[in-house]
Amino acid sequence: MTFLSAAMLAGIFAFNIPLIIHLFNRSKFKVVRWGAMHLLDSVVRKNTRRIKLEQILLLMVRAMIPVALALAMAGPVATSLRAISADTPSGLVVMLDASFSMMAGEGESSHFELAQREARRLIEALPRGSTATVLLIGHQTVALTDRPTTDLARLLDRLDAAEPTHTAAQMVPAIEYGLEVASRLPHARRDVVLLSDFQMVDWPTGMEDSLSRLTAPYRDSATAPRLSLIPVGGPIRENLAVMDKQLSSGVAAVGRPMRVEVAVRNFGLDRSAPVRGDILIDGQRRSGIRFDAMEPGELRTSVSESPLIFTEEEVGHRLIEVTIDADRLWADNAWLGSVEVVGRIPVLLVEGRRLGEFGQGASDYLYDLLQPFAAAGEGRERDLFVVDRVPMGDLRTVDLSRYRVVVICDGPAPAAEWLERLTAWVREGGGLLLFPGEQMLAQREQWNAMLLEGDVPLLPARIDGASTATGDDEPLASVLVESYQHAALRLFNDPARGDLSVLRAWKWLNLRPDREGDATISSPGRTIARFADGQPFLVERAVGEGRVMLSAVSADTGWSSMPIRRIFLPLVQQLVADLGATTVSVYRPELGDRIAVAAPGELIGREVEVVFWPLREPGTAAQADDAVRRTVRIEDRQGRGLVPLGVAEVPGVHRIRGPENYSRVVVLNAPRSESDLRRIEPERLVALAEAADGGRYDDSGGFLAASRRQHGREMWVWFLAVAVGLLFIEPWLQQWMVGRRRE
Amino acid sequence: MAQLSEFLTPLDLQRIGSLQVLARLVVEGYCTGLHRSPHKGSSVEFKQHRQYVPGDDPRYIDWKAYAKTDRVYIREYEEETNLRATMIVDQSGSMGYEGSGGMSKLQYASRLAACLGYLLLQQADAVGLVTFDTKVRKRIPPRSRPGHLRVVLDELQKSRPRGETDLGTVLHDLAELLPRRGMLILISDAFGDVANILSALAHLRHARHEVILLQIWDRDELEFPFRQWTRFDSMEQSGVHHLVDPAMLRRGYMEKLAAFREELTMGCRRHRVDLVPLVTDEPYAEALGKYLATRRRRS
Repeated sequence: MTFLSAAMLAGIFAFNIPLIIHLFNRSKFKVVRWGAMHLLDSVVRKNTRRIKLEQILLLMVRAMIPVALALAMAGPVATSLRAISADTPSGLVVMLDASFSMMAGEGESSHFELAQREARRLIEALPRGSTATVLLIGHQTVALTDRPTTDLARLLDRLDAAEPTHTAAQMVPAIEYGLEVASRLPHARRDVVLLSDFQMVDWPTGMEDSLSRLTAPYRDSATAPRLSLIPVGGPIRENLAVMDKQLSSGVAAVGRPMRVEVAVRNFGLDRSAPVRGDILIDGQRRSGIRFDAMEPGELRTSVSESPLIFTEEEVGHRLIEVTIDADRLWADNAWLGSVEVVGRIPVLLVEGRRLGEFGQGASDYLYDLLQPFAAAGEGRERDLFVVDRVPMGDLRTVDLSRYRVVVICDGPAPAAEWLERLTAWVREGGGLLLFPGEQMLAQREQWNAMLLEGDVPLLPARIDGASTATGDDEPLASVLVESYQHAALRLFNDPARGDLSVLRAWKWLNLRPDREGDATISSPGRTIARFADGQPFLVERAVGEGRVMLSAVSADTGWSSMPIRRIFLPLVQQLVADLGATTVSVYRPELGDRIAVAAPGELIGREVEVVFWPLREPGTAAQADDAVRRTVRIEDRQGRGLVPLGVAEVPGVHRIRGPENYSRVVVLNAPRSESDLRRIEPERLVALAEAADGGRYDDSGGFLAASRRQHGREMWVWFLAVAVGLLFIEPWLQQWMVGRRRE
Repeated sequence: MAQLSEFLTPLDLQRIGSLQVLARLVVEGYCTGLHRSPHKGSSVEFKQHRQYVPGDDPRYIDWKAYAKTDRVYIREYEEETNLRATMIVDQSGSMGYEGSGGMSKLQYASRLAACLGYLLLQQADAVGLVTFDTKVRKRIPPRSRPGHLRVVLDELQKSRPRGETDLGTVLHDLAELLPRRGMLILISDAFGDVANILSALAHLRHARHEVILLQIWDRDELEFPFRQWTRFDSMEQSGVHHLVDPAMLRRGYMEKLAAFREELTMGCRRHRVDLVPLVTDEPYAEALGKYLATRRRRS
């Protein structure tokens, strides 16, 4: 015998209540001075024994009522009566994997649809009076009903209307939740059935231990919920996924051709067929892309067939979408992003030495490299950057708000009055690029003190002197070629775009990135490119809304041959363009996350316009009302502004525009972890079921056949009947005892 | 000094005053009244002659009859005389029971005795009073003087319930104390051993008293309406009590009560004692009036 709600057994102690009432009544008796004692004496003498017996009997009946009720409410289960109660109502929690991968399928139905059918069979097989619920597992676990219900028809309606999510499944918290829900069901038989494609990525090594830990608290109970695993669907042979896209330049400029590089991985089991794709800007096809056949697991990149050229009218943030016409799991056949189209980027070049003949200044080479068409006499209008050059001394008078990037080339330690203005400008979104020289090296302590140890550190790294090499027995420093992660350098991941390893330096700063790897601060300095010996070549730091880059090598030929290398031109252009494109932050949260975008504290209480473009299934025509517009008020979070956007459930792009040029972009792509549709081995599935002390079944029919009567018989009805019977007996008994007969 | 108005309301007096108390038997008396005396002697109305026997008073010899018949006859006269009524009021502890009506049985008995005393004295009958518990506490001989009523009322007002009761013994004693026949109006709850009580009543009847038993009840004693747990403390014996659930006992009590009343009723009928049950929540004057009306019809 065991109990579903053992806590209710405490109600047994309520048997004391009639006893207490009896004793209370006896103690609170009324006193009557009585004359006819000669009549009472004999009656009392004659009936005392009988009355005592009757009172004990009545007391026992009264005491039994709360005992029987408590037992009924505790849900007693006779475990020794197993296998005889096939029609006993039971509790069922169906956990439906609603992750993105469940949209895949080989036949006409997706895995999610197959799981829906299996769930329907399980629910329809429940005896009358059973309680059930369905939980959809995605990034979060969502129940189809507020609480487990006996209205199974309504539950089935909701099951039919359920849709898979675009998120990844979080199995451990989902199973924990499912077991908890099942443990509270008011039945002796409680099943938790998980219907899933059992993607390998969802069941990493160690899940057996997790399942064992999750089910451990319930094992001692004979009515513990039992976890059963039912795989749905089969292996998926075809699945290509767009993994990423990159632009040939960090910023898309008006009139400048830009190519898009797209990476696609074959997650299928078979060699893929060649596939074509489209590149769309704001929903309009602007170029095509094609991929040759790929082996299983292969990652391949391809470049857009034709360059994208933006017009003046397109200045601003544009939605860029890459789609391939591949397979039914369409959400990973597309990649969403945002590209900022700019006109010409105003750059201020600060000369730290002297402006004069070419070669005397530290910025001479940069001046030409940033506007090569003008230098070649082909017109300044073709250049991406509009460059103004001033001596360092003029920084105190220059209106910095006119520029998006400031490049300082060598120079003495900054004067306090303009350093303050420069810092404020960077914090508001400006990009600062620093090239060293002999003056900076000589006054490195002042540079460190003023730009690194001040209230707002600007320098990404501490300058610890310089190193030199002769090139004879001391090798020159060369730039390490690696897989660059920084947006400004990813272009050079393709050797065809240029080889940075040709860059050589014989003198360079010894840079020590400030608090690199320190997770306690939000913006440590980080190395974005290194020399072959591992020393930093380029370091970067985020400062407020802006960024600062520091090169270890000067911008002239005093320390290296870089300025005269052809690769230096695109490198400088990439760095400056990247710094110039930082005025709008792009935020890429995970689907399923609750999104909140930071905003300046001055805008708290103001409203912003949020436009959401959902990802469309490839091949479907764009609709005018695809975009969802709404107005959101900026909330106060301890003095900092926050734009709440809610939970991200659908891939797409949020564009946020507010007052004072506040603008943000939020890009949401389906998780590519879900694109890997490899399933766990059958043996592993059995091991998982054993770890959970549960079962593994091929389908719902197998589960139903195997689970018939592994549970005890509920006895609460019997105890309730006893309680009700006693409730009727008690007044009758009382009437009979006092000698009154019903008329 | 107590006033009659303390016991009788004007309405009470009006109801009782319209009735005549007629004695069923002729009693010995010395005041002229409406009651017929069973005794022969000095009188104004001749009844019969009887032969002289030694010991007769020579004053009652009818000399004219002796002259005519040469035999000695005694003249006997039937004379109108007063009723000698004695009210015997029980003031034992049980008479102190005061139920929900707000009046104890002794209070009710006292008012009843006052009514009777007034009525009897109004028609020139002699009224006496005896109070008792385990024994006779006070005895006021019957008198027919109008001022005698005050004496009776004073004693009634002083009466307080106390002690146990032994009605049988008291009545036996009274039979010895009351040599002259008369009407005995016993006002009591008559609680006690029924056989003993009936024996005493028989004793009184043997002394040729007319006995009326006005049995006083409280409604609680007749219906036993108690529900919650109750401790019944004896009003006559200190330290005697029963803590019981009355609902469980009611049936037995009612059966015992019925048996008690039946036995007493049958015994009174056997000894020709008028038993009149009265309940304290009934208007006592109205009940008394009905009883007197019944007696007049019977006489």
